[in-house]
Amino acid sequence: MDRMSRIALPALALAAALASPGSAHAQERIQVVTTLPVFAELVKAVGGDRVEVTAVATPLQDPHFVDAKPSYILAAGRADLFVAAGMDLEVGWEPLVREGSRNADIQVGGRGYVDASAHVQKLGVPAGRIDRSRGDVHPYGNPHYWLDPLNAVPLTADIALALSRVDPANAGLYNDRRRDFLARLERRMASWRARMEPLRGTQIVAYHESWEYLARRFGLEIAGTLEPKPGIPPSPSHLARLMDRMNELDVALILKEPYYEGKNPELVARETGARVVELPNQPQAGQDYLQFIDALIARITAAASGVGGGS
Amino acid sequence: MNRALTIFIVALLGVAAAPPAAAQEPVAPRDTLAGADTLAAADTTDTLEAIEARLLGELGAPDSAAPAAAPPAPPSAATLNPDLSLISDFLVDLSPDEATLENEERFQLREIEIGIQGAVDPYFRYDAFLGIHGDAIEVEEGYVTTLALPASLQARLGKFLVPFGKVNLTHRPELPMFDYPLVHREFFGEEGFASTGAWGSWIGDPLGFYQELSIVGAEGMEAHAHGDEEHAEEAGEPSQAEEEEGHGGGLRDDLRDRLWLAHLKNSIDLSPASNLELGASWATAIVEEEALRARTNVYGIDVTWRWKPPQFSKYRSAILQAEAIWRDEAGIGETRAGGFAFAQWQLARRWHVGARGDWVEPLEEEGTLKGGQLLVKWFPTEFSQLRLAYERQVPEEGDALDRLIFQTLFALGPHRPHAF
Repeated sequence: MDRMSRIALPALALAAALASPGSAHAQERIQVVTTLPVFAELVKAVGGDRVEVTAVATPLQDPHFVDAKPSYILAAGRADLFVAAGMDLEVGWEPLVREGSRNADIQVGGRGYVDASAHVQKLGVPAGRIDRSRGDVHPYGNPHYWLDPLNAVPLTADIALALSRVDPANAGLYNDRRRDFLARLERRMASWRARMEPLRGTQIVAYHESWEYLARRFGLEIAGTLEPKPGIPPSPSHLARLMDRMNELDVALILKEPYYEGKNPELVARETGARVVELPNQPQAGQDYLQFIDALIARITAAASGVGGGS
Repeated sequence: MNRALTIFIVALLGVAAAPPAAAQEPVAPRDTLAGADTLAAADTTDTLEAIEARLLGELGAPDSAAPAAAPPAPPSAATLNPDLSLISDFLVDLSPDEATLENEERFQLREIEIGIQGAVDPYFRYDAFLGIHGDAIEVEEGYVTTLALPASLQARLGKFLVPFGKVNLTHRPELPMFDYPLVHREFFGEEGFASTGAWGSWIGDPLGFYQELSIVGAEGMEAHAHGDEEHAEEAGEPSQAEEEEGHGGGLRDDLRDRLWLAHLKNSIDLSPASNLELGASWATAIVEEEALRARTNVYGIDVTWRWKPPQFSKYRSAILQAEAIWRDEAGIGETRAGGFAFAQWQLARRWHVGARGDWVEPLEEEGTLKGGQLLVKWFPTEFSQLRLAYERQVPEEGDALDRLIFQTLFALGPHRPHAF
């Protein structure tokens, strides 16, 4: 613990004792369980030392495919707040963790439940009737919304609101921390835009439909995906068509998460002269949210200028 | 800007604008983030509202010309309908000798399983599974589960697969092999050990790892799982003799004679990639067969090891599993045993191979029945599966049985994921 918090914590405790003399538990740290590491970082940005956060998925895991291990169920059982991505991203495991926890507070509609997607700007909401012949289409839209850094504005608003709900004594603290976070975000945003400006209009290809938010924010154009349909592994005929299109459009970058196999992206890269950029879609250990976006931008710009950034 | 978002942000500001004054004072932990940003944040004197308004303005105006989100029409799934799902279990018997399927044909639509599931209200959820076999519909499971009991407790009422061991909690179409192990089929029945009653459970980690204790009180256990149906009377029903003598029928006696079952599950994470589960089960009931009416005790242990590297969870995984079960027939003074060991390896995203070794001492025969199964599975997606299985059963006396079975499984709807 750093010196700042050693001074701050007792002061905080005193303040809370004054604010709500009846509440003995007010200064126990708020226990938060999030499905994904990215929400854990945003909760830390707003909650600071007042929160203790655990993420269920690890930074290199595909958020669609996580096992609902009993140890996660225990953690959720003790949580004051449970933050999930929503939009059916974690439909294969989140309900088991949340309901299995037997914690009534964190069930949908409970005071400790946060659907992080509630107020974000959504892309790819399918029009018309959907069924699984279209692959693993998410009926509520593309769920990788945290990759637009500006979606951190509504995301942290929901988090601050939820923290204030379970810990009203510190609503002011959460509000102040969120303001600081957004001020930093705004400043970084200007630098990210400047760094991405030369890439405006650049054609890229992704493994899965997970980079729409980042691309749209920074002016990249997605020419196609290695997956023929969301969640369906690449097929030779689809890759052949994709490579034709990539040659036509002069696609330079192939974005792929670390949890996808590398064989097909490398094959396509070899055939088209494009470069594979391995981009995690979650903050890695030791990264906060801003550092995570920073690292994504750094990798993309480095790869585009031909100085590595991927395999 | 989206109107709902504006309203929401205004509401949030309302909450934040009136915090207890004292709480705002000691907000010293300015920042643990990057230093340059800290300075920047300190420099700007803008209010949260001002910064937020600017950023939200940008959020609504993307840099790319790509089309924005479609107007969010509520998808059809967002209704109050329960989740409806279906699994079709279809078999083709390619066995070299005679047909070995239950219907003694070469093709069998063994089951269409319908799942209807959903929250009843904030306090209960309901899960029903109907099995359609030929022209018969059977309630395989139908139970209510509490969602809001305190102290990590949960209760379940209705008909359910009982928590005896690990494999028994899985419906047949979702098993990793095409049927239950021989020991389950012999001791409990072709479709697993289900009963009607009440199930209470508690979870916790007093020893530092996950533990779950389940207690079940339910209607009985079948006398002979695979025997002549007419002889396989349910336990707990007073025998004719008893009824005539006026015994039984009292609540206490009836409860004593019912099925009582306890299961302790222990789950330990060995590493981020591997997990070990150990379980112990005990069931007791008065089982009645013809003139005989006696207490039967069944004991079981189960162990499951799973491995799945988090980064490549779609491509690689392995399971090793074993259970041993002892059935103690007090009436005949005999104990029969059985068990299985199972291994499954994921070769690639769409390919699994599995093997199982079985053994059981049949209730109505002398000696031991042994069996083995090998299986290859291909998954186009998580909703469809094609399997080819070879099984050999070797009784103590008589000829071995060879089976070659092709199985297809297709799932429709949002079938609820199964417990880990």
